[in-house]
Amino acid sequence: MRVQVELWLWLSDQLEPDFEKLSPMRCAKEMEAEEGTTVLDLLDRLATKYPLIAEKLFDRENKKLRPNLSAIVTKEEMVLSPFNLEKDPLPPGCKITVMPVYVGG
Amino acid sequence: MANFHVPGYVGKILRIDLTQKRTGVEDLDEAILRKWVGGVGLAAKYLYEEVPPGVEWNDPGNKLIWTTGPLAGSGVYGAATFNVSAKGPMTNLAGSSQANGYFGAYLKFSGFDGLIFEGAASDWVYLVIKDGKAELRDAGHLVGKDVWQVEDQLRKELGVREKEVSVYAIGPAGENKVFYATIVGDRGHVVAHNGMGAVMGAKKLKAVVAYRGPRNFAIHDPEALKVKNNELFEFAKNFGVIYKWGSGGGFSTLYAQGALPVKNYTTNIYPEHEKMNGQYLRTHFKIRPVPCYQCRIAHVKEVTVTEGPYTGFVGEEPEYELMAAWGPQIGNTDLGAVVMLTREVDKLGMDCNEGSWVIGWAMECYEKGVFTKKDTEGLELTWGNVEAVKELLNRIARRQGNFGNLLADGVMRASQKVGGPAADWAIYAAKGSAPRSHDHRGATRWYELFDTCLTNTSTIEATWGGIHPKLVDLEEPTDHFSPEQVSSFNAKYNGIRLFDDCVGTCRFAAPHPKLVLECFNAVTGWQWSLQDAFTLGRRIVNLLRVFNFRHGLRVEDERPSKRYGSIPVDGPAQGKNIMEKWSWMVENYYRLMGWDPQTGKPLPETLESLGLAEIIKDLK
Repeated sequence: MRVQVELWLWLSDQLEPDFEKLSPMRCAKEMEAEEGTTVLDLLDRLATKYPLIAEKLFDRENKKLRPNLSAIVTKEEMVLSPFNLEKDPLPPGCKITVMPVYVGG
Repeated sequence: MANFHVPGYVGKILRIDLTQKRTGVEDLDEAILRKWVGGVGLAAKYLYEEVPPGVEWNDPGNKLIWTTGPLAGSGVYGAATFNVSAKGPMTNLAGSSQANGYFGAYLKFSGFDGLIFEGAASDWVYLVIKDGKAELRDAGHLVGKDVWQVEDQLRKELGVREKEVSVYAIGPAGENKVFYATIVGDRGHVVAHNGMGAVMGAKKLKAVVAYRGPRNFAIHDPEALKVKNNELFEFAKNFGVIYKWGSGGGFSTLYAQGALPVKNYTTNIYPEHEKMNGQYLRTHFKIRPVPCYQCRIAHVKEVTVTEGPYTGFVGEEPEYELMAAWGPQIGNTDLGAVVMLTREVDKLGMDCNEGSWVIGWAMECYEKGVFTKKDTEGLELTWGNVEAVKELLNRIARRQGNFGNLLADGVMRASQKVGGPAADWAIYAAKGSAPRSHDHRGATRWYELFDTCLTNTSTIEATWGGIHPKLVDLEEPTDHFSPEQVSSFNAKYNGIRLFDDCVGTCRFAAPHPKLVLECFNAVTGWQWSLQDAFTLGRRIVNLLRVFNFRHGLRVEDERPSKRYGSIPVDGPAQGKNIMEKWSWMVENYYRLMGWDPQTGKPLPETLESLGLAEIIKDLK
């Protein structure tokens, strides 16, 4: 199945051309994923291939997002909730957006 | 040096009778401090005991209570927070609001843990406190000045350097009793909620000046405090986006969640967010740190705009709420204009949240033909017309013209006066409290919508956006649109944030409740548990809830306005409906809080378990 990963982390210039640069802040990549793949599985795959993603985004040793980051899964532009990033399988055609965590007001 | 036997405290409250222009000092007793700690807790105690039912927000009988807590001035980084409580105009119920800067520390250095203003002066006055002494002075020459002018003028008159005193003042909005007037000090820090500035204006109190001095209270275990303080700093530095990008660093995240307020909740589409966030601001505009008292996180900056029509404009860096208020909510896409409007609303002394709800509503009314240019008295209130917004803010602050005066009472009252379909477009909680500048219908924000509608302090009290429960050993909710999880989570989380608001720390510089608690224990020597901290917070919530019932709270008003609780028409939360099970959520929350599920009144056993048996009789 096809899924899309979008990073809102100002990494577009460094990850081009493997990722499509949508803006300086946003870059995206279409990926093929097996059924049952979770968000963390997918990010682990990316981190294996891209050292920058391992450094900035995904802690491969502990299999989790680095501090200060959050991820949401959307399908047809709508947030999926409930959605467990560690356990829930990704639905076909979804988009995973990784961005800074929100704190405070 | 320290004269009082309880570490962390000076042990004195200053009472200021504005009617008689007299001041008096009262001793604090350890039992009271252990029960209420400080900040919002101590203020709630005085408010409950001294403001009886029948006293309205603008009566001389209302009390304006400024308090801080044991960590303020203790050396904990950024700990200079203070709380202001009174019966507030937005709700005509209890209000509490906190601000940072220097005042919380300087209040103690000047000799007091708190100030209680009572009565009302016949002429404008300001208060100076220094070395345990207090003096009311004539403020006639300050009338009409904005808060920045007041700060400049008072420093000049007193012959002091910038950091030698902390000055908090009201601007024209407070003088004119605009319902959402604020108290602003230390160059842009704001006591924002429930119109505490209007209460100050009703008392003809223009400003308060506190002097810097040496630490005049004991610390139980200075070595332990040093260790825990450093741990807190390391945690804060790596927590969220604040240290690197300021509170605006979460702006785009909120957009992705459908939680950014865009054009008065008429849409959730705002692609310009990429040039309206903290990351963009800090990598494009010129930045200068202007930290609060002893703060190493130093997220507060001065900013010089470097692009767009406001190039060269110097102001305070907008916090997230200001970016949202003066960006998407009014249809503006220029970040420089946000800096300009931030300065304007701060210097006039008005809350950006309510200010932008009322102006966004007026803009929607203008777009839909409810208001014409004649109604707006010449203002072209089209979305994004920031110069018109600037002018309108000034008219509101001075209650100038029919239109400025209409909007000065806030969006709930203005929309009810206008009536018709426009009454349904206003964003407010039905008790009168202003939501913060989010779209609370989005993912992860239902907690805050629910909290805003059920608040007893007139600001959010249970949540911090419903996130990071693991910091206080609570389970993370799994479904942010679940009526059960949202209402239950708010009840379980309730209390710990009130503890924060008692001790005198800043939530950005000290975001880990357990480490704050450990600093608190090091300062006071009390060895409180996390449960003790929760209990304190719940005691305050329950005391203020009983206060509010005695002052006319109606549970049918614990709900959002029609637009505030509406279903998003587009964006990531499209179709999500918080109102579908609203009554069930409220009952579930009441039950978990130990309140009667129908009347919402705290049950006698709840009050008893919180050490509030003496007020059970007041609910009958």
